[in-house]
Amino acid sequence: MPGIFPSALPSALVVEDDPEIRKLVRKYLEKLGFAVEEAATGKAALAMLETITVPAIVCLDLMLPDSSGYVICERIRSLERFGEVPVVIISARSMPPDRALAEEVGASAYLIKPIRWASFQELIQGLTNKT
Amino acid sequence: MTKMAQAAKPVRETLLSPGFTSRVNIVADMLLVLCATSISYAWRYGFHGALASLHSVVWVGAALVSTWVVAAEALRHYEQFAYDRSLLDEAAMIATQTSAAITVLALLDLLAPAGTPLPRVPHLLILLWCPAMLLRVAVFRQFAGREEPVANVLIVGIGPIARLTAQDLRQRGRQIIAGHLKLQQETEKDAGLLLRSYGAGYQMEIFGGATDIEQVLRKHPVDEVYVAGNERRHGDEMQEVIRVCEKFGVPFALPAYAFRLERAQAIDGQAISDGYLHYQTVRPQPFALSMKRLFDIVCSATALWLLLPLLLVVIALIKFTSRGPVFFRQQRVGLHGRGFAMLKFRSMVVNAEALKDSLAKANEQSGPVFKMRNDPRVTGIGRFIRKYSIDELPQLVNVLRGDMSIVGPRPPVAKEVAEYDAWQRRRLSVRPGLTCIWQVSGRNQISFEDWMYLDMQYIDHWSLAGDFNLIFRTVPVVITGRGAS
Repeated sequence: MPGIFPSALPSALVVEDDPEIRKLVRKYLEKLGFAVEEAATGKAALAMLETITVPAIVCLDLMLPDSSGYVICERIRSLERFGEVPVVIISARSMPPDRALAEEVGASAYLIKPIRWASFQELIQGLTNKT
Repeated sequence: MTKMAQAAKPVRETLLSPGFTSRVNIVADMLLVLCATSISYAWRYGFHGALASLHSVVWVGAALVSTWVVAAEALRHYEQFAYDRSLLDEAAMIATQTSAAITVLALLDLLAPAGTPLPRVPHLLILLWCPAMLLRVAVFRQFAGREEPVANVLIVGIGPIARLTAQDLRQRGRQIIAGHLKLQQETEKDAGLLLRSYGAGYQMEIFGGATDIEQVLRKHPVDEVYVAGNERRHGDEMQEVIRVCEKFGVPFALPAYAFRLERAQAIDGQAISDGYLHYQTVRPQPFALSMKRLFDIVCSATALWLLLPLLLVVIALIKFTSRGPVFFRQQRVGLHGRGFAMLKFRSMVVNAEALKDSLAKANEQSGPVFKMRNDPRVTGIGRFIRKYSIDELPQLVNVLRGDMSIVGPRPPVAKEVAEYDAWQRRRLSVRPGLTCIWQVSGRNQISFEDWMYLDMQYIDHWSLAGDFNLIFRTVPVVITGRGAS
């Protein structure tokens, strides 16, 4: 039951520089019962990776002001303690070369902007129920 | 892996025949322009006034219809890809066609003698643009999405980019994926993921390795090859695939970038809207080619109509002088190796094909083609209609259907194609035609290899003006019966 045992909630890490989209993703993730941690820059995200407890899911924006989702994803995959945590790359770039690249850096899924609730819910639930 | 996989379109039960939308669209637009012209006359002069100037209505209507169709063809408005354009583009295209029609109306206004009844520009503007746009958006764009795909695509690669490309193509639903070829370093795991991404309702086939591309292209009609590898890892193999595609004259597409682009965008985003750069071995002249098709349609339709009396006489003569059908339908190989039934008036006895092998010794044409003077299988009337190429006239129907063009390399039979050298396959990179350089160069006196060179010359230096030139040079050849057997 979300809200009753807040400490027991699975957590989600959202790295997104656009405040509007960050707010939306946070809203959606909270609706799905996640405790959301946020980072708006690559620097902040990389720093958080060293300290936070391993989240149940990571959502990465591709275009960050000082870095990119690919870089963060590669870092996550290099950290043993993060294991096989599902990583979703969120981007407006939708073409096969981009999506193939996301797979190559170890992303679990690729979500094309604009984000819609139905597809977001299906994707996140699919990814988190598996692990 | 991505959620896109589940979003793939299910197989639709009822699909429209390919090209249906554009055919209906063109006729509807012609009727629309005609109606708009009539109504705009009535708007200005009243119903009885319009009726009184029926003569002008017809002429102005005809002028506006032809302007509209020519403008639309120039904008490639009725081609399959055009139905995927953005709504804004669509509005702009229709506005351009409307202004072409309005411009012609303005010119008529200037040139026509004073007192000629003409519709008013604003009336026509509203009556043309709005309904045309409405029809296009509400009806034809919907139809287009339900058309059966015609183009065959071969994907080189079974890895992530190939899988994502296949997904993309299936979602667009405009192409049939003939199959995949495996690149080196690609694994069973890749194959498994690919198979899974296809899901139920789609056939997936891996023909072999990338080096098998030549055999695959010889066996299957392929309209485009997607070279879905990574240049950094599969460079040599991709280069080999490109070499074969160029030799065969098969259009191909390369991933727009092999590098990690995090922020950068192509300045001409339109050119790589599907993540690929598209190449073809014939000079890209979309407008001229569109005009060629329009010319083919108008020309073949008019010719069939004008020649109707002659055709009826020939049909009667064939029917009453020998046993068997009037038309001879022969399987020929068309654009990108796709077969079609080419129509001819029957000029031989019924079991001619069976007799061909017994006559093989007497072949007078070098190479894989069979040609023979005084062929004993030809009927009496056959000899006459062959001498004047009348037996070829039913191919105007093939032109109208889009299997053929007026000018283009003669469509070969499958047996000839099987014996082609790789470079000769490039003959199939354009629509076959009724006449080409060979026909006006003395035909049977030319060796097979020189004939192939002439066709390559035609393909590599194609222009609309060159086509007209060939048509004019064909006329005397046909009339004198020179070079024909």
